[in-house]
Amino acid sequence: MIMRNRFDLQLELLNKELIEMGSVCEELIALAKKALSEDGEYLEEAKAKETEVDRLESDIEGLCMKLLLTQQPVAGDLRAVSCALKMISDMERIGDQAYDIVEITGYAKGCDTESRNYIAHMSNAAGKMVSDSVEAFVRRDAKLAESVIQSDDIVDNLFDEVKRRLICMISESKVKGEGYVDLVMIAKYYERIGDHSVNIAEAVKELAGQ
Amino acid sequence: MLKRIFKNIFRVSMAALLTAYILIAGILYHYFEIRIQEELKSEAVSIAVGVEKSGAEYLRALDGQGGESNTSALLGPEDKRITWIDEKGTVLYDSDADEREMENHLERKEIAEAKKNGEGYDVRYSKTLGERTLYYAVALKDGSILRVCDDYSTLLSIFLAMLQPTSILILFVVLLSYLMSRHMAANIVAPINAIDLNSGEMKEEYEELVPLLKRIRKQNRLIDKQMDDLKSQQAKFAALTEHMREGFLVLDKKGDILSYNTAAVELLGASKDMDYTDRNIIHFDRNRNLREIIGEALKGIRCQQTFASGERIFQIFANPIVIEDVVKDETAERTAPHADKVEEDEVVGAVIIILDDTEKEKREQLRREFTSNVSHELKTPLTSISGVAEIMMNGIVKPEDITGFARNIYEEAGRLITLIDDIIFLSRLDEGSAEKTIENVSIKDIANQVKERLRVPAKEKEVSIYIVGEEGFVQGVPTMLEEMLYNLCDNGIKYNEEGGRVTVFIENFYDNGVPKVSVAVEDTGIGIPLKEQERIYERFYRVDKSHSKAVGGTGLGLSIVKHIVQFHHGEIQTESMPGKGTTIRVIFPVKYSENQQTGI
Repeated sequence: MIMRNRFDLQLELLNKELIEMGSVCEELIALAKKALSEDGEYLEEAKAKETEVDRLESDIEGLCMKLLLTQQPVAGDLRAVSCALKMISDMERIGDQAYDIVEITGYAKGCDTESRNYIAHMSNAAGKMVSDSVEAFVRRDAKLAESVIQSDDIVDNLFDEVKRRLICMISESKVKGEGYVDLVMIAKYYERIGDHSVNIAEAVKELAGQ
Repeated sequence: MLKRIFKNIFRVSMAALLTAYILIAGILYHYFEIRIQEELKSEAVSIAVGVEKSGAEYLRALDGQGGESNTSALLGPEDKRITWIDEKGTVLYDSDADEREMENHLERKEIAEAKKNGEGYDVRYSKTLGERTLYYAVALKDGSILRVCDDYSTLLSIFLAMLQPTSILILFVVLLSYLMSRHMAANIVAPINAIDLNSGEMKEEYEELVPLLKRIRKQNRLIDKQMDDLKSQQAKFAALTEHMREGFLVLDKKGDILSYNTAAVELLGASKDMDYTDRNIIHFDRNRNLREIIGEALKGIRCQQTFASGERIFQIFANPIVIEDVVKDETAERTAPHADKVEEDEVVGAVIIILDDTEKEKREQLRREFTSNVSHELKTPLTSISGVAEIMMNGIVKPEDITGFARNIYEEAGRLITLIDDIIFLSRLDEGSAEKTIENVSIKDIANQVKERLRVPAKEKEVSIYIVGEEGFVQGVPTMLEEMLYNLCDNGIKYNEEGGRVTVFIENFYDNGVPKVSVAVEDTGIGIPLKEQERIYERFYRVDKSHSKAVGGTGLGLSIVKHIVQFHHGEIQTESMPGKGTTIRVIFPVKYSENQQTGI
């Protein structure tokens, strides 16, 4: 085995923690999907995971700072650290928004099946984006990252569609507005999650383009 | 080594140079001293002759011209000092100082010596001038003494005087010895550098290195052998793990991957193009359950877990790798009776085995459904029998109704018997213990018999049965084929609309030169939804989950059909459109063969 110095070990640790944070985000997204489709109490579990994401964020931030101050990395290593700093803020937002979705699923369950199908589509698409962006990071795969960036359009289009549909339904006053407002919020959260995944994918592209 | 040899050679030559220089300087110095002495002596003697002739006058005359002559670079710039002393020690003349002020010189060593032996030497250091002064005294015939003295440079000044020419010389010698020692060192080292370490051969062998070379050759052979062993072991290990269907991972104590097989990559959906060796397990799969179980294993706890990842279900075994400390073991066993748990620091890694349980779980699911179905099918008739019997027992049935109730019991019992018959038939087919007299059978004849048997139920439902096509001879077991066709047509009637049709098409054809018979039973019934079509051959499977009695049937019919077709090495095709009807086509090879393999 090649001898690795302290700096490389710390970079490896950073890498590992980033993947771990990504995986907790994935879990949160999966939990949000479950909360949307199944009955049950998920808020507590989501809270725990959200706290874990926050903890990981501050851990990783501390690690990055330590690396920057004590090791003064240059070139590729510096890029790795700065990309990590960018990625954790995006991951933290993803975690927050997934938690927010879990929080407001209660009302949304009262909506009609077709609208909820749209949301299910969005949740699948956004979940895949998060998953793929983390996977792209693991593999340093610029191609996969590029595909994540491309698939943002799917989520955006779905959001527009949901919005239009709900506006129609509310204006025709076919339904009670309450749940549908939450549904729009959820759609927006997913749309944001998609955007954050794109940010992560861009950071990965920068990393992989070394 | 080159440097060291060079340094040593260079050092030796420098030392030689320095010694030579000092020696030469010393010899030169001595030589000069002698020369000066001789010169002083000859001068003193010549002056003495003059003094003996003309006394102090000669000396004074000498002094007058002395300024221009008799100087030499080595002997100092000044004139020689000449002193004339009478026998009592009084200075009669001195060329440099006033003789009247001078003290008695009789005590001086050279004077005393001259008085005694006729001549005397002495060397004194003049503190004030920092120079040496050499004195030579000679006794004259009249008993007076003439002394000549001269300053001359010290050893240091000779060195200094020699410095310029010699330093050039020294520089030259240093340069030369530098170049030469470098060349020599390189020459010595060259054969050592040229040793071929792979073969342990040396072009011109140094005797001193022979044992070393022998050792190298021996170790090379050993290393080659060990490498070969290692490679073959590795190949064996790789072959072993690569052909495992189970995922296999070896981790070190930090959770980094040491080794893994393709099955693990496939099962956990990792990338095939990446090399995960030396990377943390989290790169391989981000599943939390996996991480937790590995964490436990690395703490030294053997564990096993089943979890779902995506659509698949995995069973994971994680075993800690423990390096057993022989000495520690005995005491450890006494203090820790729990054999599964070992000290954390002894764990050097973990072996993870991943099994894909998706299929097993699915089968488990099917078995559960089967059990619930079969118990339901068995219980329904029994419940009604016992219910009706209870009413009759309680005596609340009018005598004239008893016949009706009895028929009810009879019919339900008949249903139960049919069901149990079917189950027995199926299990016989399963065991392969069913009747096996192969005959030439005409499908058309059988179809006609079936049509006859089904006349009553068909009439009840107003379904007409048609038989179309050729004779269709097949080698097979007639009772089985009849059972099969009966079940198919029975289904065709049961799941038909009022006034519908059941048509049996019989057709001879060749498939790749093999004569075959196709029997298709087509109905105009309710049809089967597409996603149910692959499940209808399962035992007790009902598209209509309510197990309604209105249609009847045991849920075993198609299952029996499937088994019979399998027995005859035929194949089954299902075509169905919900609401339009169903066609089930069975294709048999004309010739029955014992060992033919066919899949359905």
